Amino acid sequence: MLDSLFSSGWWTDERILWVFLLAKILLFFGVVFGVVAPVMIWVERRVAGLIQDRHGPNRVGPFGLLQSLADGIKLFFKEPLLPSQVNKPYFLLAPIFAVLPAATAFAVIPFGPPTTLGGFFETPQRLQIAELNVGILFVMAVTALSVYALVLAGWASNNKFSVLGSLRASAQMISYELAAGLAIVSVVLLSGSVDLVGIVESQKEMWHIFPGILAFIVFLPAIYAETNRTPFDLPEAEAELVVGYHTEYSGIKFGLFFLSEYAIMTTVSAMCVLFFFGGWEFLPGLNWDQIGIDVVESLFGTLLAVFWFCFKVSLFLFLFVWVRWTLPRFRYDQLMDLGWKTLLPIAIFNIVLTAGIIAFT
Amino acid sequence: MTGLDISFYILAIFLLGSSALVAFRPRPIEAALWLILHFFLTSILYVIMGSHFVAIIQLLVYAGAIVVLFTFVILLLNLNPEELGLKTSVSWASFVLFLGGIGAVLLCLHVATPELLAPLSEVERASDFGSIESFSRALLGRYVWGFEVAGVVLLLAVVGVGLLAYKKPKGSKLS
Repeated sequence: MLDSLFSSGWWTDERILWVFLLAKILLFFGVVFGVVAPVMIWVERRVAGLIQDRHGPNRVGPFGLLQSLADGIKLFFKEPLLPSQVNKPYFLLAPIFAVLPAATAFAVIPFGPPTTLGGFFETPQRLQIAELNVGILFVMAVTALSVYALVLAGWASNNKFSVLGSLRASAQMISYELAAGLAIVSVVLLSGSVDLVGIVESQKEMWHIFPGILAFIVFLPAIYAETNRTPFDLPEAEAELVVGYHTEYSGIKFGLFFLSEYAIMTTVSAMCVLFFFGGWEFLPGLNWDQIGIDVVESLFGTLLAVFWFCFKVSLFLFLFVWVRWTLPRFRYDQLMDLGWKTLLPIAIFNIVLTAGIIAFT
Repeated sequence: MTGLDISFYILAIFLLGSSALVAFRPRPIEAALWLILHFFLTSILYVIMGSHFVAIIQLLVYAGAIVVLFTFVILLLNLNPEELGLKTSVSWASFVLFLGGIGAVLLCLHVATPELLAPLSEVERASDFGSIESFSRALLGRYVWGFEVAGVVLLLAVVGVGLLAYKKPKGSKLS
């Protein structure tokens, strides 16, 4: 069957590109939602155990690796409870709104260099689902939309703790998105491109982390706040708000919120790597070409670069977990002070500084 | 009628529907959600026109920031439609009147200057229309003064609001 397909002339160039695109979509979404998110949930619990000097889940499968699978099955088959006071359509819509931005943002993230897959294609193809020339803005826009899931969930729950959580989420998002956006402006200035592949290619000689250290200092806390991770998890603050916006959710609806948190975490970790840490480039000031590995033409080189990118992203994912189990939560006024009085001025100063340096060198 | 035109008209129907719902939903937060859908559809409209940059900025600035601020204020005030004493925020009659007015204006325009409302596929465009380069060249080149003036006006608004909202600390001698 396959042989006849290959020889029948069905495989025109255009069709091959379509199949390649489909393969990219399936691979990327499959890996992120099927592997990265469940494994990250496991890593989170194991590292939490490590940091707090206890075991963490270690019974289901080797080292407890299948714990997430077991939890997923349990959540999936749990009775879908609908509290009586909720606003039904919006209550059901909120978990979907949580997953959508998390999934959409991946569409423009390149996970490797443009490649011919070892000579399979004549021209290098991008390892990116949607080749958008304003990729950096798209990622920013879509991650910003993730706050509506929180707002909607809290409001539709019709529960005062949940509404407070939503209120905090929206205030936090406005405060920190500004700082993150301004930090990214200096990255755009440094690379002279708004295309994510272009940004990585501009880091061949020097990673942006060195000229852009101030931007990174602003960007990192800002994205922690945008993903609602500790120390900025005020929207769900267990001690004050039960768990805030998702108090009323259970079963797979809760599971979707949980999954989207880790998916968004993966996106923003990839953003950190792409913007500041050279994407799939080897080391600062030492790119793949200089050590004699061709990442465009040879399949081995491409896979190596993809692996290297994934490795860097996983380091950032680990940092997320590490920070969560080390730092205590901010107080609300401290959160606002940090956003408006510290990060925002630093970000604006950094733009002026970067623009000045670029203009005069 | 090309595929582009057909998709434009379908989109236009949904756009009008979502903006009507912004006006008709009794609860402010629902109206805000329909407003987000409206911005989404508008940005698709920009994509159809080939202006990707404006489309993304539309999402980022309006849906991503301004409506977040709206929802923040709505949740902060926490007004119920019962408290407001409204069933819907606008009556159907006034909406129909409004639509009729807009339609009449558009019809007059169409009669007076047919090329203004030409189908999208017939509009002539530069080859780099809508790209970020051509956009910024226009914004910071030909229209730089208008751009700067708009910036100053917005800054003045921010300063003015700060001044209006500023509460004197008790016992302060500042006037």
